[in-house]
Amino acid sequence: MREAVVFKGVKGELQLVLNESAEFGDVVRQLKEKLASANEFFSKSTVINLPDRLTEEQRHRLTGVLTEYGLAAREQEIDKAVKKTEKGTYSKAGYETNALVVNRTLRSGQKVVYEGSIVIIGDLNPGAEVVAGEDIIIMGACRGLAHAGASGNQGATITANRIQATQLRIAEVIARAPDDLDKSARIETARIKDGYVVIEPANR
Amino acid sequence: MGEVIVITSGKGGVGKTTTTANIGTGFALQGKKVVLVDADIGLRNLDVVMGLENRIVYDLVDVTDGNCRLKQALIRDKRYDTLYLLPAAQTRDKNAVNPEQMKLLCKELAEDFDYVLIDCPAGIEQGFRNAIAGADRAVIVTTPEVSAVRDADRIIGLLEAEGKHNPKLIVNRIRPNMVKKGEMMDIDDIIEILAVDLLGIIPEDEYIVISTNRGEPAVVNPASTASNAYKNIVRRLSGENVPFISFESDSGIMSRIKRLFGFGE
Repeated sequence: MREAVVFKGVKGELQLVLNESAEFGDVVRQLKEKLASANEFFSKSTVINLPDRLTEEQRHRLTGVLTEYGLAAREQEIDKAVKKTEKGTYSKAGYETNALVVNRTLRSGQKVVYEGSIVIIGDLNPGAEVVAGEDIIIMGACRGLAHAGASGNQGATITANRIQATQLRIAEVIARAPDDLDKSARIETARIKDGYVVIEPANR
Repeated sequence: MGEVIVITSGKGGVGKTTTTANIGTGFALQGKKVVLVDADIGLRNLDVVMGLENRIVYDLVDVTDGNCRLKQALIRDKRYDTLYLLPAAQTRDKNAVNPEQMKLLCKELAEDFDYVLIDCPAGIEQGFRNAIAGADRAVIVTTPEVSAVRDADRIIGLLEAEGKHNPKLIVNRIRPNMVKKGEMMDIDDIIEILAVDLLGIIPEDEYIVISTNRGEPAVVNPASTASNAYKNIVRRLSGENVPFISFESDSGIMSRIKRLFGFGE
């Protein structure tokens, strides 16, 4: 049988690599078999990097299996530099939020994924991606790909000082910018109305 | 202890090698001791642009593999005594060297030279990681095209992730008349996206083609419009405060650039 799942050592860390053509059910079964037969091999709470491009449910199941065998799973997607600096909650006296605050400009190729809201203090540049379970607030220009309410929350919004994105996504709705998008000078919010993404001045 | 500067861009064909050759020669004109390192293993060009192809005996990979001493692989320029080239290997690939070896190499070169300029290959893979490994500073080259700016943005992000902050930007091949007509991105558009410090603006100059084919960097020819721009870049890199084009100016940046390069009024 072909291997549906292998452990690979990458830069001193363990990476889970899935065979792209394999059924996810086979992946989970093989993973369990491997872990059961190699239980002595992994020391407790070894960190295993999960592959990127997993659905929410797949990630959940893989994490579940790994935890069952006393291993820790870690997501790959969050950009290395972001992971180091910003993680967790942001709170100030009189103001509390579970939003992830990203204190820098996200550049092409960088990606931030978080289940709650994401606040970016800086720009979202073309080629960068931000995926939030709830709202996205960008204190700067939104030129990259913003996906709010990624887990299906239709009430999520995207707010930015300047919305210049070529594409906005809220829940499962994808909106493409008109080809002759003017540069807006106002703070705007994108939200779903009647099944379409509309952009209007913030605080409407 | 000298300074190690990597010249990089992400996208190919924007002028990294030409820029490396001209900045290096510009430093040599100032009497600085400088070495150019071609990190584009397998696709070496810097030797051709410098007109030193026929003098190569050993190359960078020979040094890191221990086939020769570093001094043996350095080629002295035919025009300037303080200018040297460490050529890339042509028959190997990027995996022939690793970032640790490059760090050691840069450190060793920095002991003997005022400036070590590394010509980075295009792309973001092993060759890029090798080239930036030993660098103290980074210079990003872009052209006024969205594709090049996008790649420059990616490179700045990758440099930050490696702890190399505040790279400087060179905008290459700008055509003032096209910018004026709104057919080309202007400097403000580029700076707004990349949000890094500008090191210089180089106008499109046909003489670059001639100089590349001749193997003689354009900076030595005062008739070349790019020459002055390169000289200013060299002065800024060596810490001099060369008056820069004001971006707030009412008269507009393009007219100032034109004046600077001697077009128009």
